[in-house]
Amino acid sequence: MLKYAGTELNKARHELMMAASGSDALEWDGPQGDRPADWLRTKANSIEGGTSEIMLSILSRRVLGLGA
Amino acid sequence: MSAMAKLVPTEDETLLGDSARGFLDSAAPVSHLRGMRDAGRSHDPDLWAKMVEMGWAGVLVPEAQGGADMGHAAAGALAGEMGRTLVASPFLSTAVIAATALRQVADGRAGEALRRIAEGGVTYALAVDEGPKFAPEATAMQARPEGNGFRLTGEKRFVVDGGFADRLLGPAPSGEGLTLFDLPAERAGITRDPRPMIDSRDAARLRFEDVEATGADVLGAVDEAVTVLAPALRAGQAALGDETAGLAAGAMAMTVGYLKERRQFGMSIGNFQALQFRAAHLSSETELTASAVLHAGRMLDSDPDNAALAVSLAKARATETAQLAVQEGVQMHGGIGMTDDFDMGFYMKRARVAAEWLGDYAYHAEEVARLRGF
Repeated sequence: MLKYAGTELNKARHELMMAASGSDALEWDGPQGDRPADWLRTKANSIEGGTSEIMLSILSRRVLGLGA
Repeated sequence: MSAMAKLVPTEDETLLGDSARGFLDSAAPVSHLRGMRDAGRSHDPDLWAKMVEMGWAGVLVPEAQGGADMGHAAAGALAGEMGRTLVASPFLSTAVIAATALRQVADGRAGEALRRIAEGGVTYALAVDEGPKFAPEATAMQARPEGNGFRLTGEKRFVVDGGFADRLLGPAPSGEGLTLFDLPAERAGITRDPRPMIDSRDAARLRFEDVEATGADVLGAVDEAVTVLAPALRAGQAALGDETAGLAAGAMAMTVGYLKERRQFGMSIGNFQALQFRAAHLSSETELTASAVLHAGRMLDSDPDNAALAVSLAKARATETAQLAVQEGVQMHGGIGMTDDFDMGFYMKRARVAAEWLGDYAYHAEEVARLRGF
């Protein structure tokens, strides 16, 4: 549950920071420094170490007892 | 046109879109952008010359000035195809925004500039932003009256195509209002700082240091930039909505192709219902957005004074749909979606820049709310 919620939250957090930074975050090494690179990196969070889909499958089977 | 008219492309628009797709698939697929990025270039004059040859630069230029005068829906069809393969070109800045601005001004100089656009003799960049967010009327530029002209001092940023454009179009406060200036980019006192952008396209920061602008450099009337700029911005926002919608469709096509091809657990992953639902949802969003951007083009062509709502709706929707398409694109591709060898990253980065340019989702959602009286 934590892996799923945490990685999705981190992606959303970085999307928000990109939007709030406007065009400053659209330059590599711009006024927002590593922000765009960090933002892109978060996209892997919900894939690496078990995708969000795998986490949701585990939740539905083991926790909710669906399709077990 | 009645509000209930069908939102499907006309035969001419379909033909134009098909021929554009055929050309761009061979002349400017995503690998073209990748090649330019790897070579450290953000503009390909040869590609633009071919587009000019096909008449795209003059799509909004009157026939009297050598253009095709096909209208905004047709310009949108072209922009949509460019979005599909992430084509970098001065089309929006020059053929849509500058051409629309120049059309608002009925003098010989504007007519001559339109002729130059249609024949590919000039490129333009629109210099409006001064802060990190789009706010066209919030300008701290100084336009100090001198003789029968002005001296301009200040900064503009996120000037798309500003690193290479021949001319710059931008407003500055001039006393009673804003005045729109149309200046050669090489004018003394202007320094350009092209920035390395995440979408590998051209955008620059501009510095104006006591730049001389005469009456001949003013587009339209002094203090009345808005009458020229507002229609030009709407045209640009609509075409950018088209481009963004095309981007979403391109990213989706790539993802659906992958769902059919990638096998896991003994079958293609497109057999999994969880992914089918998400792909189908994305597809329905893409269709709705296609209608919204076409409607914006139709309104600009038929009733431009009342097109703002349709344009903001289209830009906002396209931004959201593209976000969904690239997020789902990366996630459904799994690990390979993250790698630079794979094109999805280019779609994600362009979607982010297109989302900000000419007003983000929040800006346009607020416009929609305001225009609907909420």
